[in-house]
Amino acid sequence: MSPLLLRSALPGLLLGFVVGRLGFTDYGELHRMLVFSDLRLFSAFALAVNLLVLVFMTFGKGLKLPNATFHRGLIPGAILFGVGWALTGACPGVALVQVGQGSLPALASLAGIGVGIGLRQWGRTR
Amino acid sequence: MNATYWPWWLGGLGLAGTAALYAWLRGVPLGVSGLLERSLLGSGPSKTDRPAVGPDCGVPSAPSAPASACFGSGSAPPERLPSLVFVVSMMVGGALAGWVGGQGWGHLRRAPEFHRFFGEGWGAVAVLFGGGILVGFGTRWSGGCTSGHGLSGCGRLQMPSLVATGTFFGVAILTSLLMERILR
Repeated sequence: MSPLLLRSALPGLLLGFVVGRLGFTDYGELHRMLVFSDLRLFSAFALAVNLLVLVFMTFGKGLKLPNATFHRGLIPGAILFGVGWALTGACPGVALVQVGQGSLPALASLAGIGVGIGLRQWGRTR
Repeated sequence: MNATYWPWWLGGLGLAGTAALYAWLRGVPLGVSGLLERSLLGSGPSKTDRPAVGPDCGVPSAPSAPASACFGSGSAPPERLPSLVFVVSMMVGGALAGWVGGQGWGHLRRAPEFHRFFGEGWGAVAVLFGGGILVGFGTRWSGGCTSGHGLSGCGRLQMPSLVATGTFFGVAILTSLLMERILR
C-alpha cells in the first residue's frame, strides 16, 4: 500500500477501533448520554475536544488547516442530524463501525446515510 | 453484548489522538461525513466547505477554479481513493474492536432501549433507514458531523463548528428526552 493510502488507513483503523471500544456504537450507551443518565461518553468527547484545543493551539499554525464558515445549511443541517442521531444512534462514523462490528440493523442506517448524502448532493447541483 | 468499554479518559485520548494524527498525516481536518461523501460520490469539497468569499469551486460550472482553492489555505481535500480507504479501514477497525470485545458477528438485535422505543419488526428498520437519511443529508448540509464539526472544528475553536455542535447535541438531547416521554 502506498504511503498516501497508508496515511488514510492508519487513522481509519484507529478511529474505528477507538469508537468501537469506547462504546459509542452502543445505542444504549449513547441514549444514556443523551438523557443524562450516564455521562461517560460525554466526558470522553469533552476531554477529546479539550485535548485537541491544546494540540491545535500548539501545533495548529504549522498545519495551515482551512477555516469553517457560517453558511445557510449550518444550523438546519445540524438540526436534521441531531434528530437522526437520536433516533438511530448513528453518526456517519458510528454507522461504519457498527457495520464492521457485524451489526445487521446498522446496514439500514448506513444505507439511509448514503441516500441522504446523495440527496444532498442532488439538491446542491440541481 | 456485555462488553466492558473503555473508561472515558482512554476514549477521550483515543479520539483526540486520532483527529490530531489525521490532520498531521493528511493536512486537512478529520471529518468522516465528508470522507464518506467523497468515497461514495467522488465529489470535490462540498459547497459548505468553501470559504465565504473566494472562487466558486466544486461545481461543474466553475472549471477554472483549482480544487485546492476551495479549501482555503491551499491544502487539497482528500481524493476519492484515500477517502474510500479511510472508510473501509474504519469498518475494519470496528471489526477489530468487536473481536477484542468478544461481541461476535451478525447481531440482529441492538441495545434494549432501541427495541423498547421502536419494537422489533420492519418498523424499527424503517426508523434506522429514515433516521439515516436525516443523518446523511443533515451532516452534509451542515458541512460536518461529530468528527468534522465536533472534534476537528471545536478543537480548533471554529465558531461555526461550535454553533453546529451545540445545535446537533442539543437537538439530539431534546429528541431523546421526547422519545422517553412519548414512546413508553
